[in-house]
Amino acid sequence: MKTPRDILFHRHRAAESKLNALRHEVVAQLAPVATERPDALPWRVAFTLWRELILPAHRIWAGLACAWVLLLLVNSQLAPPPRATVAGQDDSSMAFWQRYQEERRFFAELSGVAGIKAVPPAQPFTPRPRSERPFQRRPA
Amino acid sequence: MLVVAAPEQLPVAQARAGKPEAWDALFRRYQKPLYVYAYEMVHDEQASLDIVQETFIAATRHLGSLRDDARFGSWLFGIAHQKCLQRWRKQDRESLALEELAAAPEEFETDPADLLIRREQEVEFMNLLNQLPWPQRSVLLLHFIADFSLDEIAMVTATPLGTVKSRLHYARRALRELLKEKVQ
Repeated sequence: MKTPRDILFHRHRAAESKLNALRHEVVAQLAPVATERPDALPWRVAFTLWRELILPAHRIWAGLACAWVLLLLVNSQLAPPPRATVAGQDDSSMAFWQRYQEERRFFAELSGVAGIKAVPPAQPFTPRPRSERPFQRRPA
Repeated sequence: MLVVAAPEQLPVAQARAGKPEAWDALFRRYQKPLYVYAYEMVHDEQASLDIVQETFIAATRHLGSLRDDARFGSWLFGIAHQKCLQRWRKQDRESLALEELAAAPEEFETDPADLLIRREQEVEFMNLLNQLPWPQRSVLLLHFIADFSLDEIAMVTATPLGTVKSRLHYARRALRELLKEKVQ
């Protein structure tokens, strides 16, 4: 004794291989959708860059890297020491201002300009009443 | 007695995410029932394979229209049913006028296994199944093959529940009478 389902399925058992082939064909046409987490995107971009940009010309990139390292080494050997490392130099703002004034006087002496005066320090502004201000007649 | 099958754990959510292995599992689960249904409706092997393929492709494209993942099976059969209907209309073998639109009976036997068929009756069973009008055959096949409930069959065939009950009742009664005659 069989159920109708058993009879029907048994009758079409020969079609299973064709159905499997058909299923594989349809599934193969499905493009895998990217479902990765958003935080994985930078790694994916980096990996893609590495695979597409670096790996195909890895010898050229390695040569360029060696040249840059060599240039950095040569540059570090030939460069003068930075000013900040000169002994005894005071880098405070007051010392800088005094040094600036001295150099300005020195250049004035060299150029023969005697009229250069030191800039007077700015007077603090104190507001006064209108009655104490000097009267100015407006032109008609 | 209405038999409700336990819900399957189908990877519909993974299929929504576009995972091919999920689609493969879903198609493997339904390829044979879909093919049997299509073949018994159109009686053409190549056309049945085409219907199954078109159903799979349509499912991958329109899965977003499926609201309830638990109804994936009936949704898939609904697509296949529409494809069969299109083929059947082209062939125009039968007429919808043959449809029996009697009133729906009160009681139903909805267990597909309650109709047991002897080995010598198998040929007669298939002959009778093929003699049934198209709508009755459709309902009966969905009942036998996929073990769908009446609600699901109504959804697949896009017909009112009362019509499904009527078709299923008279199709089963016709089958049973034939089998009784053969036994006697």
